Amino acid sequence: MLGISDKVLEVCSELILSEKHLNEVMERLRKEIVKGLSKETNETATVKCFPTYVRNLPNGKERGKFLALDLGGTNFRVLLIELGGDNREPTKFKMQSKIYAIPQNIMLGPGEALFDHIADCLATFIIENSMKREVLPLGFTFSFPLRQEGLTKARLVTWTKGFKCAGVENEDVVRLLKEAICRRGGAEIDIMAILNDTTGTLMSSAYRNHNCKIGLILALWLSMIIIQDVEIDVCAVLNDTTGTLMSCAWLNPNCRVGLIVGTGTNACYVEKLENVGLWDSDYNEPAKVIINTEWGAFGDNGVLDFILTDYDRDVDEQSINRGKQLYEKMISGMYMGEIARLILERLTKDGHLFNGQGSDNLYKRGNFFTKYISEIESDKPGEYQNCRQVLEELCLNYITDQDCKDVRYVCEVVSKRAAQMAAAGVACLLNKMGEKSVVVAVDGSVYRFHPHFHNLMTETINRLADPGIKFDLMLSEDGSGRGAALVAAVACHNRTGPGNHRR
Amino acid sequence: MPERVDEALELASSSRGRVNSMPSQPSSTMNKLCRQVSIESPGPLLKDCVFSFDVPVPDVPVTGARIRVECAGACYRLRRTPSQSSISSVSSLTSMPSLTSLSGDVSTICIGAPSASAPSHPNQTPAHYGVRDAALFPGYEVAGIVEAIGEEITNPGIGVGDKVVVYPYEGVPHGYAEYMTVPDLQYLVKVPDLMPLSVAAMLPTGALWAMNTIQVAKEHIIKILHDKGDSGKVKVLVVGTGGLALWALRLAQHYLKDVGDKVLLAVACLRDEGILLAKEAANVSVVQWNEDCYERTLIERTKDSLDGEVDIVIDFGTTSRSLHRSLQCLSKGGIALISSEVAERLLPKFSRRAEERQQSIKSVEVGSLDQLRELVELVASGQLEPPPHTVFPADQAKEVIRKLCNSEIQGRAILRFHSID
Repeated sequence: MLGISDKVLEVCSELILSEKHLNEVMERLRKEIVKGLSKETNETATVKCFPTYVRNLPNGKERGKFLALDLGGTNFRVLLIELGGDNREPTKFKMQSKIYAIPQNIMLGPGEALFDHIADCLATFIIENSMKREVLPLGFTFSFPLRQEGLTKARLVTWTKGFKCAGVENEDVVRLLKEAICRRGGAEIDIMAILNDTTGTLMSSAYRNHNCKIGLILALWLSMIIIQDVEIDVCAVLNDTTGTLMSCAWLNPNCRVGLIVGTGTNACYVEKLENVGLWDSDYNEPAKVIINTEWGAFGDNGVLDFILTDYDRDVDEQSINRGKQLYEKMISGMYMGEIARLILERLTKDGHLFNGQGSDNLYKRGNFFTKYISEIESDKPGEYQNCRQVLEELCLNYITDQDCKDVRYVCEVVSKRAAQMAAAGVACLLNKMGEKSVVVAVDGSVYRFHPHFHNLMTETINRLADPGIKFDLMLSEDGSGRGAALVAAVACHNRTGPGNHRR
Repeated sequence: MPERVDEALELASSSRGRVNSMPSQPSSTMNKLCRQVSIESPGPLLKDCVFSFDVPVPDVPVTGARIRVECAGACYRLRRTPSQSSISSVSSLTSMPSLTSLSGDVSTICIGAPSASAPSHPNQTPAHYGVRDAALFPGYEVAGIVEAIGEEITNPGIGVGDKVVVYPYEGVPHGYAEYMTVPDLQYLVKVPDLMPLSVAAMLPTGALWAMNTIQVAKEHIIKILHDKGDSGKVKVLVVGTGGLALWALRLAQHYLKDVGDKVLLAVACLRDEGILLAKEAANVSVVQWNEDCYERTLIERTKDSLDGEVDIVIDFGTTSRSLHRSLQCLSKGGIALISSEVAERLLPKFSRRAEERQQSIKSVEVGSLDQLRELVELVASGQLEPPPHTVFPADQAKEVIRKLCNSEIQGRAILRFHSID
């Protein structure tokens, strides 16, 4: 039985977190959350704790047809979701979706081009699905840090996950989306129900004169946009964590926390309105709101420096958002592989792996993908089939079983730290809410595909959460899609005011 | 004709004269050495795979010719012996030379666990982006000008000064030198005057391999359509947007015209720049195979873009990973077409899994001499448009290979060996 090489153990030791470390992380996160929730300190808080304006959780009886857009880390999707079967199967649903590519030049180009791309994809989807004339509520999942100012208004705080479009940060992404759809041209202003004579006159003029400017103003003013006779009613913009929570809550009434560990990481939870210093709306029942913590930025003010390693600092310095999202960079899939690669590079160059003979592929930044970690840790103990395949892909020769064992250990240390850090965050939220029994909805590629992440998180939360709190980590299905539809459904159900009246 | 005969005689006479009078004429004007660039299979360190030498100018074979090399496609040389391809029998267009079926090979393969300290095989597939993208592949691609014809040839059909492209016959030189010879004139295909030699240089391996693959694919497409009936559609996935894959797309447009409305074609792009290249072809879906995504995500995405499982996958630069991914996207009874270069090593690994789902993995060789002749005509007549290419001086080969390994060159890279005519 081979043991781990001494030098490998030594190099990896600085990534191992003790119980004391984790308790300290929890305590510091709790303080940052309190700062984020408070009106006086939110401005300078790193964990912003934005209220989502989503107050009602689904109860399983939501019905109707909804569009959803999902702009996230790896995909852009358009979905058409029909919720609700009959009384016997209330949580039945049907879904059509399409995945669209987002090329790098759009990820890094002007924001207008990104939203034009989204509008084009939406139009393509509507045409391809031969959708008929109808009014469809739309939920827009925008999986980046958002400061919501209402259910249909949210400003991008900062780009993450490799995106860097100009002209979007601090802008209302719903307005940008609506403008992009209007820019497509060919959008026909249909004659709407007349709200008053002024509206009717203006609408009539716009129709007769095909005056694009007036049409744009009207479309924005009325919050109505039309593609191919389908009237799109943007009634919610949300973060993917909110969608994850809603999707799980549809099936589990105890669900109160949403967690994403994928390309990035974030969490949301249900908070009492009395604790939300930024709250600027009514206090009717339920006197609670989902808080989008944006906890990826935890540590940006230095409170995590006590556990950062040189590898973490290296990853941060080379990233597109240097100095930001420090907690995220210790946990999420976008960065985990690179941390492991940096360790392997050091060990190889010091002569402790692969007989000291590396390869250009091993030494190339970004070339050790996070999925490699999951694949290597999926090998049965003592077997190295996946490990060997990964190392061969990196053009490494002279791979011994000892090398494979050591490489696996490096991967385990990196992924375990990530799981423990995420667990510390969840335990912090559970303790803060103080509810006896909570379901935590989880999604994200790291959680889904890593063979041990769920168990590592569960055992760590068990140690860190207050005694008496019961919890379950549950994989949430399609929070970005179905969750968006559910947010839109709940929003429509609770909407009041003149906007509710349709033709 | 009599002039050429005289010229050949004069060359022979001159050569003899020089040999005879060597001691007394030290100031010979004959060029004895020329430069050669050798490109080996890219390994762990890229700087170790490109070499430059001075080599003797080869003598003119009595039954062949000597070519002054003008352009050469940037390809690497396989380290192992190339598999036997029958050049002696000229293949017709419809025959598929050297197809390897699964059943014949598996029984002889020993799949043992590697010993504890065994180094991995030196001929492993490099996982460089450019190789997986089919931007860099093994081959021999030379276009140039006939400089001398063998003395025993009485009815050449090709003359000194003709522009030609060289079919990669068994025994081609190891590397690209400024002069090369062919033992038989049949290996030379005349290039029309209007076709640039840099375009011609793309044909003998890249385009030829892609052509043979598309023709193999078409046979399967016709069979699948027959089985599926009138409303059936065949879904074809081409992996990569490097030079080989781009040729495949263009050749598909040409050879699949008569069944075009029944074929759904998708391209798996490994690099974002490839999306624009792929979309040049009309009616092609694009699916991003970002390597940083988990396998299941990519498989789901691929099936989504084609509304279901794929019938045929064409993957020139396949690795264990991409073949595994392709097989998971393939339907029951589906076919994966891979290059003969990697088939030898991957078939044993995947054959059992493929059999379970009645899938076939077929290796495709570079095409025949007749196919090369057809290619030249197609390109010359404008029926087939070449992919984009860039010409580089041959002394920049090292840098060119590095860029190709990272898929930084769109389309093909061509090495130029003499100053522009």
